[in-house]
Parts: sequence; C-alpha cells; structure tokens
Amino acid sequence: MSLRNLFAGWVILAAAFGLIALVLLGFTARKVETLSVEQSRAHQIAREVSSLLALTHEYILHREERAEQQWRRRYATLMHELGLKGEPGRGAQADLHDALRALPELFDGLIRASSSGVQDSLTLRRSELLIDRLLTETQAISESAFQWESQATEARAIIERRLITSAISLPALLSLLFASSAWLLARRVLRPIGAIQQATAIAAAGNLAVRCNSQAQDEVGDLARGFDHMANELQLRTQSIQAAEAFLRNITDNLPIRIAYVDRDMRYRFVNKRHCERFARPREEIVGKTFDELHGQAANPELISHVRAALAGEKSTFEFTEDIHGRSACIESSLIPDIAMDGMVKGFFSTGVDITERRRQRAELESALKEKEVLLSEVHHRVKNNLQVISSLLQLQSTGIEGAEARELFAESQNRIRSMALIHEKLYQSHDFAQVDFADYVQSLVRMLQASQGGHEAHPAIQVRTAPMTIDIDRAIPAGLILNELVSNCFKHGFPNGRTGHIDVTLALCNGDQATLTVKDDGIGVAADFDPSATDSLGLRLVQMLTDQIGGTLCFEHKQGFSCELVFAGRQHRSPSPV
Amino acid sequence: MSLPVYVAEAEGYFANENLSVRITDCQFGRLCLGQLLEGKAALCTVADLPIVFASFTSDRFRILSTLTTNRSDAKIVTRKSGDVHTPLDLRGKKVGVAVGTSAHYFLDSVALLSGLDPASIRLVNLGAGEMTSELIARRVDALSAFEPFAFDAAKALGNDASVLSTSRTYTLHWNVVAVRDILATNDRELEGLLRALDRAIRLIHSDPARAKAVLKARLALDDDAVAWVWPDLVFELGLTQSLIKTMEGEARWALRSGYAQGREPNYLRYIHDGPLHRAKPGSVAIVR
Repeated sequence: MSLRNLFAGWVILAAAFGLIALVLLGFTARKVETLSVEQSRAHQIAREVSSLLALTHEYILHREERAEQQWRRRYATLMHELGLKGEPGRGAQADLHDALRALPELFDGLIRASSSGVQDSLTLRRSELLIDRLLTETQAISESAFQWESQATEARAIIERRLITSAISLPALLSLLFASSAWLLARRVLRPIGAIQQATAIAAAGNLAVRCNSQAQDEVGDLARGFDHMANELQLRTQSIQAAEAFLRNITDNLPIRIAYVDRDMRYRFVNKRHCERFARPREEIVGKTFDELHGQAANPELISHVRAALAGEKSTFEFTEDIHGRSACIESSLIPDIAMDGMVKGFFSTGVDITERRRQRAELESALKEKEVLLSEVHHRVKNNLQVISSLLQLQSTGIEGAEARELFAESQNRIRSMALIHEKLYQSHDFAQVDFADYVQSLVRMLQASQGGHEAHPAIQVRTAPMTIDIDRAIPAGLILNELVSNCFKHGFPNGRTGHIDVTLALCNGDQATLTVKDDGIGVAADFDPSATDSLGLRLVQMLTDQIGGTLCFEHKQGFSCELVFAGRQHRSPSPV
Repeated sequence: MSLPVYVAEAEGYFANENLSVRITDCQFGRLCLGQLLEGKAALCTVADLPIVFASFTSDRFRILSTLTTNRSDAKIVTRKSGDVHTPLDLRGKKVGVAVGTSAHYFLDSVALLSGLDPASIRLVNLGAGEMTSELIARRVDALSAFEPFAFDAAKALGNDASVLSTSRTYTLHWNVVAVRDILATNDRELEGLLRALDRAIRLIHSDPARAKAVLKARLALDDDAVAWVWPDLVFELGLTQSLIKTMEGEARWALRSGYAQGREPNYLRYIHDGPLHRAKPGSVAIVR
C-alpha cells in the first residue's frame, strides 16, 4: 500500500473518529443537560408531593379550611407542573400523573364525609377507608416522585459516567491513534529514510557498493530502489572513470616528462610519476599540498615569477637548473594557464622536460659542426689557393710562349681557373659551404675580368646589376664559367681597335626560382649568319656544354651588339637563419 | 405475580448467586404462606392480606421485599345484560366472592368508597372453581375475584362480560416472605436471592416478550390471559410505606369484620430490610 493512500486513510480515519467523538460528546452533553432538567423537575415534583402529603395529614387531623385550600392549590400546582411539562405515558411520570388524577375524588369524598355531620359506623368506616386510601395513594405518589427523581438521578449519573469515560477514553484513543500513526511513520518512513541516509553517508564516504535493498512497495521503497540504482550507476561510472584515470595516469607516468596541474590557490591537483620523483614523495603526499608546502622558501624566484605569470593567464616556456638527487639537471618547463569560459584562470598545466642530455648532445654537435666548418673552409681555401697556384703557373708558362694567340689561350685558361677559385673564395668567406652568394660572386667576377683587361688601351664601361640570389656550388661553378666566357668574349670581340662602349651584366630572378643571367654589349656584334651551335670557338662550346650541365637555356641576339641570356634554376637569396 | 421468580429460575440467576432454589407451586399465596408457617418452605411469595391474617397468629415470618404491585388485580365482573353497571348497583345483589380474601376486602372497599354499605351486598362465598359457572348460571349477579379467576369469568361471558371501573381502590402488594428462623444465618443467601430477582425484573423490563414466554410456559396461560393481566403488573423490588398503610387498613378491616382477633400488629416488626438494602440500595423507603 502506498504511503499516500495509507496516510490519506489514516487522516480520514482520524477525522471520522474525531467527528464521531465530537458527535458522541455533543449528544452525551445534551443528554446530560436534558437529564439534569428532568432531575431538577422530578426533585421539584417530589417536594411538591411531600408538601401535599403533609397537607393531607394536616387536614385529616384538624379538618381546617385553610389546609383544604392549600391542598387544592398544591394539587393544582402539581397538575400544572405535570400537565405543562409532563410527558404522560412515560414510566414514573405516567404513574404519577394517573395517581394524582385519582386523589381529588378521595379528598372530595373525605370532605363530604367530614362535613356531613353523620357519625354512624358506616360513615366512620368510609372516612377511615378514604383516609387510608388518600394517605396510601399520596404516599405512593410521593414514592413515585422520589423514584422518578431517583431514576433521573441514576440516569444522569450513568450518562455523566459515560461522559467522563468518553472524556478520558477519547483523548486516550486519540493518543493511541496518534501513537499508532507515529509508530507507522517511524516504521514506514523515518526508519527507511534513516537507512537511505546512512547509505548515502557511506556512499559519500566513497563506498559505492552500499545498497538499501528495500522490499517496501511504497514511495520510500521506490526512493530506496532509486538510490540503489543511482549508486550502481555511480559505481559503474566511477569504475570506468577510475579505469580511464588509471589509463591516463599510466600514460602520463610513462612519459619522460613531468606533468602537473596546479589550481589558482597554487595547490597541486595532479602530478605524474616523474613529477613525484622531483619531490621524492609519493603522489598522495603531493596532491592537495600547496606550492609553498612542497617547495618551501627555497623555491626558485624565477620559477615563482613564471608561476605568477601563468596564473595571470600568460603562457611561458623557460629553462632552469635544479638539483635532483645530487645531480644538477636542466629542466625545460612550460606553464599553460587553464582559462575558464568566463576568462578566469582556474590554474595552470605544467610540463617539465629534463633537457640536460639534449643540451649536452647539442653542444657536442655544435662543436663538431664548428670543427667541420673550419675544415671545410680550409679545404675551400686550399682549393682556391691551389687554383691560384695553377693560374700563376699558367702565367709563368705564358711568359715563355711565343705568339699572342697562344698567350691569349693561357690567359683565357687563367681566367677560367680564377673564376672557379673565386667561387671557393666566396664559399669559405661566407661560412656557408653549400650556397654561394651568386650576386656578390657576379660582381666580384666581373671586376676581376675587368681588371684582367688592364693591358688594353680602351675599356668599355661595365655595368653590373644583380638581384640577391644564392645557388649551390654545383651550379655556381658552371654558371661562373659561363659568365666568364661571355664577359671575356665581350672584351675580346666586341670592342676591337680601341672601340669604346658598354657591357651590361644583369642577374635577375624570374618566376620565383628562375635565374636569368644576361650579358649584353653594344660592340660590333657578330655576323648576321652567326650560329652559336656551329661555331668552333672553345669558349662558346664550353658555354653550350656548361648550360646543358646545369639544365639551362641559352638565347643569343646580335642585332645591335651582342647579347646572350642564360636561364637556369636559381634560388632567391635568403638571410642566413641561426642554427 | 411471581413471574420474577420463574424468570430467575429459567435464566439461571439463582445458580449465578450460588443458590439452590426449589420452587413449589400453590394455587393461592395464602396456601404458600401456610406451607412456610408449617415449615415446609423457607420462602414464599404472597399478597399483603394473607400476611395480615397471619400476623395476628404468628410472628415466624418476615417480609423481605415487595416483588410486584397490581392496582387492578381484584375486579368486579358482571354481565352487560345484567343489572349491575356501577358499584352502587351492587346494593341488594348477590355477589360471588371468596370470603376473607383480598377480593372480599376489595369488594368492601369499593362499596364504601362508592357510598354503599357493604352489608347491603348479598355475599355468596365461592370456591375458586365455582365462580365462573355461578356467574354464567346467573346464580350470582356479579363476581369479586382476583386473577386469573376474573379473567376466566370474563372470558367465559365473552361479549357479555363487563368489569366495573374501580381503579386505584386497592393496590395489591405481592411480597417475598421468609421464615424468621433463617434470617440470622442466611442473610447473604437472601441478599443473593433478591439480587437474582432484581436481575430477573430488569430482564422482564428489557425483554417483555421473553418474560411473557416464561409466564405462559410456567402457568399454562394463553396469549389472551397474558395480555389481560400484563398491563396492570408493576414489577419492582422495594419496601414502601404504602405496604405498611395497606396492611394496616386490611388489619383494621379484618378486626372489624371479625376475621381476626386481637390487637392491630405493628407491621414494622414484620419487615426485614437488610438483604434488600444490600441487594438494591435505595429501594427501601420504610423508616424503622
């Protein structure tokens, strides 16, 4: 039975009981009042009848007129009392009424016998009988009146006892009813709720295996089963969360970094195994402790400032050195603020990586690299020196050669060797042994070629325009040789017999990575049927070969002077990035 | 008149009071009192007049309580077709009566109260079994008889029966009388006896049909007889002053009529009210 129905029934029962009790009390009280009135009336009648009896005796003794008048007045009063208020036909009152009606006849007979003056035996006997009957009847009436009063008194006493019994028993019954309802409340509601409360406290303490196991088929039973279901679900989810937490902890514990979470009160909420090792304490002694409790006054001031910055919402990465188990370690730490949706910083995530070994390895690498750079620079330096030695040797040999043509061949070879040596020079001077600053190289090479023409009387003016560009050594040397051939040809063939003019050397970058090297002069030019692919000139053949080597294209034009444009895969000049 | 005794026996009230009561039926109360005085019974129920007669010759009994009163036990039965229609019509008429009984006392009282000299009535002394037949045979003009003989006569006359109006002329007291010898030693038993009778009276009041059934079974009465007597019967245990007055009047009548000799007794001496006081407090109205 549901508690709602049970308590509704109880309330209805109590209300009905209370109503019945009130009706009974009211009825009884009214009955008491009625009987009280009847008792009073019976008492009054009895007193009147007693007076009537006394007057009867008085009249019998003295035959006085006054006694007769009073007797009749008293009788009339009695009849009036009984006639007005009486209820003939009801017990003692009815008897009383009937008896009283017989009295006047006896009294009148006595008066007649007394006043007749006859004193014979018959009259005396008759008078005597009348007196006997009158006294007997009046006595009987008096007894009836007192009996009536007695009955009324007894009835009133009975009803008053009933009233008192009701007055005592009704509160007792009501108390019993309330005690029963209290017992029912305790048994069906308070005790089960107490059990649920106890189970809730146990669950709140962490023991989610607790169950109420209620068998009650009411609302509290439903509540207990709801609690059991909730506890079961909570237990399953907690187990799932604990498994996930264990999984995550396993992951974080096995990562070679420190991971921690610190709330805005600077209290540790999470630490992984590596972080525990930092404090040489188990996890349980760290989680819940504050930053100050764990670090004490000896905390690194720099670390403190970064922590404050993180709590202010700033992300930071920094390195610091600390002593771990007697070993000095370099830690790279990142503090990432945990910012809530409302912008408030709830805490920060902390990661720490021991980079001591990495720094050592980097230092070793840097040292090895430096050593290699020095060696490479030395190699380029020596190659350049060797090429210069070769050029000097050719110079020495050319002095002993007869014929200008032969000497010129030597000079051309010297220029070609120097153009290559210039590449190595630029390399070891630049400290970038993979890329050559080709713009600088073009400027230097053109100046060197111009300087090598010092024996000529007249010089064409040379204008060099270069866009910043670096290219690797594999293409720099062929491209340098091509430029050397083209500029040397301009000096050699473009301006004979002291002709003056201009030579323009342009290095440009097209389409992002296409280098365009243009050598143009306004000299005498070439014959109209000039075919660079069919020429037997070593220089031009060399240009053709080197262009193919670097995958470039050549384009000649000779309408006004000579112009050659080499296009090859180049590379835009970049500022060197730090290692 | 003795119905409470029968009811108490039938309902086992005597047994409840640990009393062993053996009842012996008599035709008249006078005979019952005679058996008591002869030592054949310890208790009897009897009307007031036999007590009065006995009181002139014996002091061996005591009245314990009035059991029943009846204002109309004695009746004057006549024929409608006859010459007697009022008490005054009795003058010179032959009236059948058991001389020296309450019916005789009643007849004298009716005559005196009506202004008639009782001596002017021609009394015909009849036995119990003669009354109805004498009236039917018109050998008497009227009967003065107590129950159940008045009923028998009226029933025999049928529609011709007439009962004169004589209400409240005489109130018969039917009493419980005990032999004096047992009073001192058996007061507790007498108290129990009266308590059983009072309980029977309460049953008569609360369940009249059941009481009437006992009455019919005990006295072999039919419904008409019960219906005839029942309205006049007042069952109530008590000792009232009217009993004394009635007996005193009857004693004077007996002396005057010559049915008794000696001095008028003091009837207070014949009252033993102790058991009734205890069995039914408040029911004794006689001051001794």
